[in-house]
Amino acid sequence: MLLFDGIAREVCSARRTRTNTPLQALVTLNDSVYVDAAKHLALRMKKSAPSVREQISNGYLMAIGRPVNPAKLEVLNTLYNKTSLTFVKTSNPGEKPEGDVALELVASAILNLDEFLTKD
Amino acid sequence: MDFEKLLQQARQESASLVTRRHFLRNCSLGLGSMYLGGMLAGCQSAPGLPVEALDPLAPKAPHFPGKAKSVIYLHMAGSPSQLELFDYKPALQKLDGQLCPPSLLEGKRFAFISGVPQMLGPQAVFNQRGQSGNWISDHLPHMADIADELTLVKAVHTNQFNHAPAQLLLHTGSARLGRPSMGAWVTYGLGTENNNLPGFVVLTSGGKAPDAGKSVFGSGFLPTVYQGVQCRSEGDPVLFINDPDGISRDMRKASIDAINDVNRLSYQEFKDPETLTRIAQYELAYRMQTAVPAVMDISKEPTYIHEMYGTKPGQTCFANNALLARKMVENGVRFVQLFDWGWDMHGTDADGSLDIGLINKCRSVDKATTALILDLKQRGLLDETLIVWGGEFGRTPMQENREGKTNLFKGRDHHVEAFTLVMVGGGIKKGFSFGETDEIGYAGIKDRVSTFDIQATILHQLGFDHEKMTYEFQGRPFRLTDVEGKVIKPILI
Repeated sequence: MLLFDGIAREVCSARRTRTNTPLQALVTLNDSVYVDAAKHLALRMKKSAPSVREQISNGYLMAIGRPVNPAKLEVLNTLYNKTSLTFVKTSNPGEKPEGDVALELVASAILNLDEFLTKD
Repeated sequence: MDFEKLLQQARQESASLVTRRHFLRNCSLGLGSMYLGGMLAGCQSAPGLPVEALDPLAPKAPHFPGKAKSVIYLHMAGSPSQLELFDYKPALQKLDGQLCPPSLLEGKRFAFISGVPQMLGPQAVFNQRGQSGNWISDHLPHMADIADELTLVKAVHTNQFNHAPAQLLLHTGSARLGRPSMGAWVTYGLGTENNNLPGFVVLTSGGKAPDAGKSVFGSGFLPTVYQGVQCRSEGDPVLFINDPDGISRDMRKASIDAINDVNRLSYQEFKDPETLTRIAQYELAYRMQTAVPAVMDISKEPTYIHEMYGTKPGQTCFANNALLARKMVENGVRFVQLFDWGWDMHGTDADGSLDIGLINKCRSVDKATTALILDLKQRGLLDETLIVWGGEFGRTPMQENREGKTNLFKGRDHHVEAFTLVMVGGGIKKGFSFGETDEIGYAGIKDRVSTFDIQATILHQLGFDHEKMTYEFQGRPFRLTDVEGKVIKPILI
């Protein structure tokens, strides 16, 4: 909470200070809590539909609460394709990774969108 | 180049005009601005305007060429006693132990003093130092050796006698929460020279964060991209700096690019300037992942540097932070703010006393502060780096006597009338003393300056007219110095 300038709760606070630092980006990208959350979102996405495109669009709906627009879906879908490609290139042949790493990265990206982090 | 910067600023301005929230806020000021808001919004919707052009941290030109490029503010939180360090008062020694005359107490308020306290003579040995003859006590032997580099501003006054409000007043220009801090104003005005590091970095030591919390380095009503970024000097400099297992740098790059692309689409939809901050912070986070561990790693510094500063690698201490401050400034960080807690010497216990605690605190910062000044000098950076050293207020010439009782140790209460700040480099005179207090050091009698004057001077050295550096908020332009502040011209080269 410190990194997000949370109040200490020793005294009452009428207004929270606005805050947005690169340190916070690193928490939501790399902290194991958020990594696990992304893993589980990816599992739900995987189960929800047969095609990756639908899985991503369902993931967005689950997290943000409204359907994804085509341009954004395209960006996320490209991330999926790029990552699976890099992953195939860099991993040892025959080694089967746990879960779908590319889908997890997409889930993590969704959980790091401005729309997800700041809900007005 | 300058034209580019102007264009950049104009784009930033117009971006903030077209958010629905900003638009409506402006509307409330009258139909005229509603018309204007609408008109400007029309101007902005030019097709193909790249969102990248709106980098809020791009380097910008100040009002006039400034002597200083960066600032290192060494805040001794709790407030060291000027009467034991820089403001030598032999007359006070003669009054030691006598009851305080009523004229010094009538109509005054103190944090702890109650009833009639006793006067307390200087608890340190003073000497004149160097060619300048600046008085500095034996508590600070290293700083005394470089007395001819320092300017002592001896009659600073404030209007807040508690730590948190006084720190806020000093750093944000208001004793209440909600204003941007000096570092935020400076990064807002100048941008940053190094794309891979935050423009405004904060480091703390002394085992406690500043009383006023993160608001002393917050961005207030300025966009949050300008707020101070606090780094840790122990363990990982920044938490979660490493990517999770199985995520390569390429994959991380791809994911940040995707996040920012989607955020750009959202920005085009809603035009919230805070989305731009988010984009900038994610890009900075990615670059910081490689740049910060390198800059924050002091283990690769040569042995003589470690000896010079008295660093303790792997621990949180002022000396490490001072060395880090030098590395930051060398790497283009604009504003480095160090908070060192533990200078609040009331005399209630050994650590919080003038007889023991103050001497120990002085030992923990004296060598490192001096090393920082000399190190910047040998690198040719002292002329363009302004260093400020001091607390948020002064200490009383009377001994603190909470609840009317005598404390076990020697100590002084918070005092608003007079305290000393040390200023070095960045176009400030060398070996100079400005301002005088009365013969017992109770109040300034000549060349008094306020905390607003200090802020105005710092901004002036960076190239800003503090009266012209404003930001529109709640229907009026705000500035760091509010309606006060005068540049302290006599201390400038």
